[in-house]
Amino acid sequence: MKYVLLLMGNVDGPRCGEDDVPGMEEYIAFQRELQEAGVFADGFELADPQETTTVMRPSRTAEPVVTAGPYAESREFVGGTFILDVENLDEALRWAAKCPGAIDGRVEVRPMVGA
Amino acid sequence: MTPADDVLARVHREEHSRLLATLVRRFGDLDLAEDAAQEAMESALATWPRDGVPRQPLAWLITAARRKALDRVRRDSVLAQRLAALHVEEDRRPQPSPDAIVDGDSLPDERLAMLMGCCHPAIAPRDRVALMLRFVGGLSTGEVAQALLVPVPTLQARITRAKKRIATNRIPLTVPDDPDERARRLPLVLAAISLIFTEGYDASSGDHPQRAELTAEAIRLARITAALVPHHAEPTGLLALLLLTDARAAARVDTDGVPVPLEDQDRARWDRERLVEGVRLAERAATMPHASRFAIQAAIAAVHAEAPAFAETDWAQIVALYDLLLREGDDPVVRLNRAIAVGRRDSPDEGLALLRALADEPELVNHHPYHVALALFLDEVGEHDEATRAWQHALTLADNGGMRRFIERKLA
Repeated sequence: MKYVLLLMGNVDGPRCGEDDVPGMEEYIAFQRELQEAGVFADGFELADPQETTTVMRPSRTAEPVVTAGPYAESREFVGGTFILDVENLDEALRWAAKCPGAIDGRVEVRPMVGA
Repeated sequence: MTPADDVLARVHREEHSRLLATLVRRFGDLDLAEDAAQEAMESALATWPRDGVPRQPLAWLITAARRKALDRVRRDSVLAQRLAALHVEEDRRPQPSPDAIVDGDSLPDERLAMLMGCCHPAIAPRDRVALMLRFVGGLSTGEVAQALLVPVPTLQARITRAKKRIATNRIPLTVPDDPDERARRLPLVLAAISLIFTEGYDASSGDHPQRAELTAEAIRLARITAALVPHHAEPTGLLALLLLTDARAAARVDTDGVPVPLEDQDRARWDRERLVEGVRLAERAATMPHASRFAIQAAIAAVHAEAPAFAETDWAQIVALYDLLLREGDDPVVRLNRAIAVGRRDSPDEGLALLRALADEPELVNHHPYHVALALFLDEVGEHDEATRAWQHALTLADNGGMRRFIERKLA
């Protein structure tokens, strides 16, 4: 069964590698650990949230509205993901607890439908 | 009632949760286990009165349920695709035949897995209580709704949502393999049982001071847990605490449903049998490893239980136990209780000073027992005007009819 770890960040929080927040090498080590355990299905790192472009169509017939940046009110963003292929939620939670993204941040664990 | 009916009724109450837990363990699917358990109970109802009760009712039910589950999987293509994972087919390991099992206790009791599964941290605390009453307590949805004072559709929706969460997230209904996780899970199980008891004992939103069906159910669940986790102080401590608290049930409210404070309770009305068992278990818990909150609270309740009169209570011992309890984690309500105990050990002035120091605790500002304790000590030291204000404030916070009448009497 596949679970997605959503690595959540806050725009007001410290960035990766700052203020004792885990740096890239810790994520690379974590991914290697997942691969060695045979549970790594996929994963990606996203560019900074300010690099977001938002597209909205208020209705089916409306022209798309393109704006620079993410939705203005959202303080939280997804910084990246790991997709795990494990037996059950407990295994997914054990990995999530080891994930560097949980340190001074938050990892949301969600099952993938039909996977 | 025929012997078969009688056995069925007993099996239903006592063994249904073991049957369900065993099936969940085997199938790993709660819905399938529930349906199969239900159908097995129905065929028992149809055949036992005619053919007699099998020697091992539980083993008979498990065999029957497994057959029902296999039928159901063969009919249902979605389930059939998962056949291999569901383990409904005959085990390849040699199984004792039901008739070969003479002692019912030789069947493994899988209910600890259900208790721990229902209290998985990924399930909301409120839902844990509903699942536990439903699947370990063996109460019907209607009974759980009645016990928790929620409408049946609300409770049904809560259980459906929790079951969907268990299935979608594949939450294992098992005892965690990881010892650290197991150690973290046990307190959640005990907290849920304690919540069931409190819900029945306080009934703070209703005018009925106690709902005995809930307190009795909590004690039953605590008994099961203490029996299944015998080498850990906390389950035994919880059972002792619940017995000792419940022992005072008859004396804690008067005929008008108004609470009677500990100092005015007629100790002759305390339930001797429960007290004796509770004290024995509290003493045992105190000598067992991992003694924590429940074992310490049981010890406090045991000190009260052993005092022949309020004035003869060993307050020094109680203060010492509250100090021990605070070392398990700061809790303003524990500090409130400790302040009251110090007031009894030393003088009302000492107690009052400690209570006043707690005035700004956010958890106590709207906690009516704090204002009641304050009012009682203010009255004792002769500060009657301030006491009246404390009683009035307590009255605005009390949501239980009995407690409101208690305060109104003080104000009259």
